[in-house]
Amino acid sequence: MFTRLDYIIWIGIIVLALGGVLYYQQIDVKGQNKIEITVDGEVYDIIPLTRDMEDVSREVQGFIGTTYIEISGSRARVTYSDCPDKICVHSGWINKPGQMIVCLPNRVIVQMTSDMEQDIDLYTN
Amino acid sequence: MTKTTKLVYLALLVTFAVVIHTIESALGITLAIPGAKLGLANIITLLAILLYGFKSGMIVSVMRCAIGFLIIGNPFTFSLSLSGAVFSTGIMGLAFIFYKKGLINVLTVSILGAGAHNLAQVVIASLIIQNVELITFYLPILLLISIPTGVFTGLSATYLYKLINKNYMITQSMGDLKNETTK
Repeated sequence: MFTRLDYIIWIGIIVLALGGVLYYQQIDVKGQNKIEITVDGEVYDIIPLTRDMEDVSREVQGFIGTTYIEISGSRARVTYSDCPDKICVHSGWINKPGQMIVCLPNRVIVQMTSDMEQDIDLYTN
Repeated sequence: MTKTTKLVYLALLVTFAVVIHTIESALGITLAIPGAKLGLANIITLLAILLYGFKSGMIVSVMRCAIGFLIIGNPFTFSLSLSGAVFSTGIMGLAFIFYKKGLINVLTVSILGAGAHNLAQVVIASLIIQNVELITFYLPILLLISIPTGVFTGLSATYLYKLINKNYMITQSMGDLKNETTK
């Protein structure tokens, strides 16, 4: 019932997907991490994360309303947003460089970046 | 007669698709990953392709998005669902050619459709929000999700197809149509 082409396609998709997921899993967290807030393609605010920082909250005016962002204990989340689907709120916390929370209707991105983005295990030559 | 029968059944399929589409977006069923959906309306698109071919599948999916937009009234959802629907139906139409030759399984057609749907949506989303990293971050997870959802929609469409094949009226509208195109 399943042909060889079936298996090739299925395995191809799984390998491609797992490769991408694992790539994001193994990014090193050693560097100085920052939370970057972008609105409509422009950088709104960059907040460096330190070990014993106080909780930070930001209100961002987006395309259709306000997005409330909370940063606490070197992780970040969206607590409330005016968008209809609330996907950004359901995304929960992000705590690794490369991870992001996206609010598409409001065009807000909360992204964790790192100074040492090159310090990935892949380039150990 | 047969043309009218086909029109009626296509309209019915569009209705089913619109209802499923609306209920799914109203319930906001999100899987573990934000933005990932079951894509239940794809069952109907796949069924339309299996019954009447690629063109009818495209009509059903585009009509579903257009009428769904009138009901839900969210331009963001519309632009995302339309791009996803058109691209995934195109890919499923291509895969359907291979399926008819017996080269691949229906489930693979469905998985390719689900994957194409996610690919188109992520690309449009990254264009809207002007961030390319969105693609590299979300696409692997969404591709992984598209395998179980694709299997689910594929199985549903196959069982529906087998059930519908017992209906004399529909099989007749399919059969006579095949004769018309060959003439």
